[in-house]
Amino acid sequence: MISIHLPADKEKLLTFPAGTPLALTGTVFTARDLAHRRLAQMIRKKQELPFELKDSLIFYAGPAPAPPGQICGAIGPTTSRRMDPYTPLLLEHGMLGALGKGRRGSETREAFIRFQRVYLVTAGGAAALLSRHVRKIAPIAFEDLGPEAVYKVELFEFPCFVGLDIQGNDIYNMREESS
Amino acid sequence: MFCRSIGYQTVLRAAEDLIQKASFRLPEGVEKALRSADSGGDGPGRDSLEMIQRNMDVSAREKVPLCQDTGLAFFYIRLGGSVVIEGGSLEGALNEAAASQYASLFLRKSVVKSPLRRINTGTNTPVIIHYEIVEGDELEINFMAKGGGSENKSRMSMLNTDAGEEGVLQFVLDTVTEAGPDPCPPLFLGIGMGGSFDHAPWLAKKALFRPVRQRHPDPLMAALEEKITSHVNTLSGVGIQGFGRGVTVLDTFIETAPCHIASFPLAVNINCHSARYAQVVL
Repeated sequence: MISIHLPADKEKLLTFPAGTPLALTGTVFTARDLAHRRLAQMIRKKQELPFELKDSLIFYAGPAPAPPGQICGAIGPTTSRRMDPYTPLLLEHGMLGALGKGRRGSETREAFIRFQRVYLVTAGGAAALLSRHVRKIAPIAFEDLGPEAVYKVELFEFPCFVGLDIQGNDIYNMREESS
Repeated sequence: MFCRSIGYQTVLRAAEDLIQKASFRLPEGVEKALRSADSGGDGPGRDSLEMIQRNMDVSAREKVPLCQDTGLAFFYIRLGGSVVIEGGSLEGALNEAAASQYASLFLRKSVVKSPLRRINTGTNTPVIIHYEIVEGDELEINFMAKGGGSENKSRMSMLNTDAGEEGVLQFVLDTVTEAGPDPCPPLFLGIGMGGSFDHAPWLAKKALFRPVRQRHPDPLMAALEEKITSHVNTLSGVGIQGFGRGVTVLDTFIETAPCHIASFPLAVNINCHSARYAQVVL
């Protein structure tokens, strides 16, 4: 498992092949379905976004509330593909990469390669464990959306894998490639 | 006529207990299947399986939900014909139980008022309730917290009447292969066979409440359950979390019903590895 610290290692992050296990430390922003819709609208209307998208990693997640005395409630990846319609636009506006689960559509894959950005994935259904890799979490925008708000999350040695590398290799096609 | 009355508060407490039980601890058979699952060797699949196994420990120990998607709340009710709920409605008790537990246990509220308006109800209600009126004076409550990812990848088809087992195997394989990583494999498959366009998907959901490794009482269906599991595991190539290696399907459950001479309704309700359900009989 390779340790990555953001933002210091943002160039290094792009060098690993699909399938590489990573331990990610640094700040990310959550955004899922409705937050994506709003971010895209704001970009199209040339409005200022609630956080700096440039060089930010977006985590496709809607966390459960934190129980008293705990830093973070259950948190984990949702299906990335639903964000495909917005991803090329976000990449165009400087997004460093995304963290989610599942395959991306061909247009989205091409956009990641074109902008030389990285798509990370992690295991779904391990949200209690993953919550222990969060140092801090707070909503920073769209709080009316409840779990679909944008949360600023400080990850600590968060286990994940390179899903799509900048050569276009895909963790979900590796079985065919290796056999 | 003899009637047995069960108080609203009794139903409410029982339903609350089920939600608590299901959210932090998997049923014994599910946990066992995950602990002994084939990891497929080194790689992201094995790493993910280890995460899933450690996740069960953290969830039980620290009372953090197993998954951030704490689900749409499903209740499958078997209500004895001579049971009367006193002091309120059954539907009211189940909704109140969900609203109170999703708040007090810090579960995620994952329900929007309408598919078009998409405004969160903030309570994880309304719950979905399926009723069966059965003989007797008991009330059986089954609860399931089911995530959206696996529900999204579930499929229904009206097959040709001569589709046979081959047709079933093909449709289930196609459904799981197309779903790939999205429903969070390794999976449990609920298969609804027969009935009608509306009934087959309910049978598929109902099948998912059956304990792991408990086979259908009809030997033909029991054998088909085994066949589906092995067929998909051999041919889908999906593997743990869709990473291509290790087990894809942990178990398959079929429920059947008679159907029209022109029809062969078939529904596949996929459940993720975090199969959260619990039962109580009052």
